[in-house]
Amino acid sequence: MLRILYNLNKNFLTIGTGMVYYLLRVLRKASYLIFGFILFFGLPASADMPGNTPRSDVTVTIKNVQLLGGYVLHVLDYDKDIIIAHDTVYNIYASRGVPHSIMIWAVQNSSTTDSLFFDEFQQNNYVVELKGVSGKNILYDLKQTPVSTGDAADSLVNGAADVSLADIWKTNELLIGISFVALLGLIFYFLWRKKKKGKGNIDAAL
Amino acid sequence: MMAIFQYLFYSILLETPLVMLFYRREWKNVIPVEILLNSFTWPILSLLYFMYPHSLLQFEAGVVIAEAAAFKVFFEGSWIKALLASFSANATSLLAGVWINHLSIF
Repeated sequence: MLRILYNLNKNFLTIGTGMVYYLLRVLRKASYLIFGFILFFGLPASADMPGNTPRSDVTVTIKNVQLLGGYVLHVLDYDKDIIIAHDTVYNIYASRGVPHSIMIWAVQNSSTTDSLFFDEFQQNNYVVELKGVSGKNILYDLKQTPVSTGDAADSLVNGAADVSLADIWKTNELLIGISFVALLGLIFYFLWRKKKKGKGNIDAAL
Repeated sequence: MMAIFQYLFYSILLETPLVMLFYRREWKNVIPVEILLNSFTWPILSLLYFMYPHSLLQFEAGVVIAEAAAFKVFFEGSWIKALLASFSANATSLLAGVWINHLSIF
């Protein structure tokens, strides 16, 4: 009787161990799948990686600045505060990560208007025809033309934008290349020094 | 396009003697390590600075930590010494860069 129970227990243990082993194998395979999924999920999702979506520069054409009267027009581009005194075509260069945006507002003495925001994410060229200031608002008409389906004038601008974008890409590739080569150089230099030190120690011991 | 690389050259020129002061006994090793290390960090810093609207100080802090880790790996000395050397070198080149290019640190 005891022997039968022992054998049963042994068999159960063997089956149990086998099941645990099988479960671990399945989990191991599943972990590869989960890891692979996490690793490559960013690609179809176009996650916010540098270089995810190449975009073109866009322009903001500001017309009739003189109609603002005593107000002075300001453009804030990152941390640069630029004063616009005449009609201007402002270039918002393309970012490939966080959209590059600018803020426009007008100031007269202590009176400041509300701001207008433009960015290159929508890939539109903007024409802002100013009409004046009423209270805290800048009065204006806004026209938007998509960068890819613009008219002849836009195409000319886009051509220039594409060239500048290509230049930026070229510079970026060069920067990444230099950085990568330098990293390889550092690794090789480290290994070479380690090998040299090892040899030196053997010589000293001999 | 190549004009931007002059700043890499200036960085190496400024930072190498400063790091040499910290690691005088290993000054011969400082030269190749500094050239390679700056050639590694400077392009990444430039790329990130032009792509993302964060302050230069934030990126520089990352560079200081990365270079300090490299100093610790390549040269003999404590972490504090490596951090001090990296901080001094990068602070000098950052201030020179700000002065030359009229950049904003913040």
